[in-house]
Amino acid sequence: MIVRMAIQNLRFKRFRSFITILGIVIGIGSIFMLVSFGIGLQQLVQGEIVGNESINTVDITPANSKLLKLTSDNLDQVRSIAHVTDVSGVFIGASKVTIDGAAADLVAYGIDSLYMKLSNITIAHGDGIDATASDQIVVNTSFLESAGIGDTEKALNKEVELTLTNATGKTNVTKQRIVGVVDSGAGSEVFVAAEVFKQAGIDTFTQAKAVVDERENISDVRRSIESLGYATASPVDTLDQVNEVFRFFNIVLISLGSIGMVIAVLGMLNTLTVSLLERTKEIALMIAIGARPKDMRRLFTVEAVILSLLGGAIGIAVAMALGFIIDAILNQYASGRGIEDGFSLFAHPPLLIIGALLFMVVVGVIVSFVPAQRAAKINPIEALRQE
Amino acid sequence: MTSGKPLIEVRNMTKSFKLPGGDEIEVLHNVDFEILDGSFTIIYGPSGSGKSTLLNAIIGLDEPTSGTVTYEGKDLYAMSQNDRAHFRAFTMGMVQQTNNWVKSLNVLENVALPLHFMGVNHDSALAQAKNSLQRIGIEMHAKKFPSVLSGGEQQRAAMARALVNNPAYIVADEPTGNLDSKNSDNLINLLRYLNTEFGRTIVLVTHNLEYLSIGDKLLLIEDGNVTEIKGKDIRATTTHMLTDMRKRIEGWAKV
Repeated sequence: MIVRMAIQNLRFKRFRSFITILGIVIGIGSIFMLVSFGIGLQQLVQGEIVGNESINTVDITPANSKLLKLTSDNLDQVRSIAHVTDVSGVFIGASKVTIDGAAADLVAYGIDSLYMKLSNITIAHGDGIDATASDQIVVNTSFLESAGIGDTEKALNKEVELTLTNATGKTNVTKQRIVGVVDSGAGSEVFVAAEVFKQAGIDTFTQAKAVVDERENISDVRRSIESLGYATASPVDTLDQVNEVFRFFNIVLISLGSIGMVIAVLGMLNTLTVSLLERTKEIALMIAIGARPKDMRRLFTVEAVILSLLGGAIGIAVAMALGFIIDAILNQYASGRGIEDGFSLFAHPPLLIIGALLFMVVVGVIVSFVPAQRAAKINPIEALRQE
Repeated sequence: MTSGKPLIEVRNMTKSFKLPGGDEIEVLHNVDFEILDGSFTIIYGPSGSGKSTLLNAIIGLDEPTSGTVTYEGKDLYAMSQNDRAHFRAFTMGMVQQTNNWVKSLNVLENVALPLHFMGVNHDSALAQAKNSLQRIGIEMHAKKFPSVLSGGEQQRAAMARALVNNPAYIVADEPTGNLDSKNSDNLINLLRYLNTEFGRTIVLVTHNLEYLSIGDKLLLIEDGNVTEIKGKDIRATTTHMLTDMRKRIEGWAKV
């Protein structure tokens, strides 16, 4: 009955209810849009950091490469640590690559298939290398530019010579076929199978990656690896720093959005207070004919919750729609400039939507507190006596 | 027609109000009477004599400064505010001089209100409200809003609301105050009908001398004192008061 009466009251003063709801739509819609922008941007940045790479990885480098090397045996030792599911080593060395008679000095990476998967090496053209083949090479666009090759498609299947030098100074030259091109790296880089480095007599890895089963085990695994004398790093470090920045960023966004919300709440409080003043005699009558003071308190609380929930739901829907529209426009614009990968600046996790709706229920209850208490305390005799 | 059983008992009741300056004024002094089940009691007094104060005390809206008000032996003011509201919903029907309505509800929904406060479900409450309107003869106005009804129609709708919960007693606080004589008589006749035919206990507050003799008991309030007059003494008192009034009118006329 209370809910029915509350709805009737709100419908009776349609325009006032509409204006109040509009204020709430703008208030909660602003906050929701800003928060979903913050979350979307955070997810976008996290994605760039982690990419296809699992964040449950630990990067390993020798703390003192003169004393401790990363050999296959050492990697086996790391592999035996609890919660480590796999380990992959990479060779990184200075090399020379000769293409079309021109030579360039650059960094070469000797990798295996696990390292390729973990390291977010995204092939822009062609294919990745077959880690079992020792005659395939992937180059980056910086290398092609330095070699004067503008058309990356023409670079595919070209033959190059790769010269590696081992610790003793002996060089090893191998012929490689370009099978793929990547966009990554500021300077010239090439990627070959680890086997190519081994053939050149280089058997000490420069770095390794250990894969950990669960994120919460990363700290323990790092401690174990460091106790073996290695230095460790993890994408989780960067991610934590990024999350810290975004925590502050989101607080700033919420604070800005709260300005609109405060205005909406004040509007709702004004509406309820005016409604109470207008309906003093009605409430007094109802108390006189048998309504309990708590019924009158509930009436105002229900009215406030209906206003805030309705305004909240519409505000969230409008914010989500605007987010989708902005994303669509930006993606269209980016696609026109050659960026084919779609992206989303606005994220709408279900928990955010449910949380926002619950927040609005709480806001309704809080805002209605004072008017509801005043309604419950109306003295029917005095109120009905007033002319 | 009364069963003789006391329904409402007021014992040694006084009521005082604090004035803004801090002084206290005693409006009702040592009021002591009972209202029997099935009786028709009239409370009469000049304006400001304390009629409404007495009425509010006996319906559980205004706690006395001292003394007791009981309903079927239960002290009204020993109950909590919520329990007294509950008591009003189940036991009492009320008609006032200016009836207030919940503006957002139509006549039918307004008449059904006491039933909602009793916990009756919505559809049953509306059905009973419709019956109540039919008994009063204004069911054609069910879907209208009370503000569009005439004064007389509003009072009849208020009667329907007062009857909808089948109350033990009905209080009418100057119900004819804003009505013309025809509508006033109709309303009073309705109250008499409910009392004589259905045995409803009626408590009528009025300052209309002409209605004083219709009750079983007359409570005269003057300067905060309540005098109980029953039976044949009512007619004698009424005649005396009418004579006094005629003399006063003639006295003014000479001037």
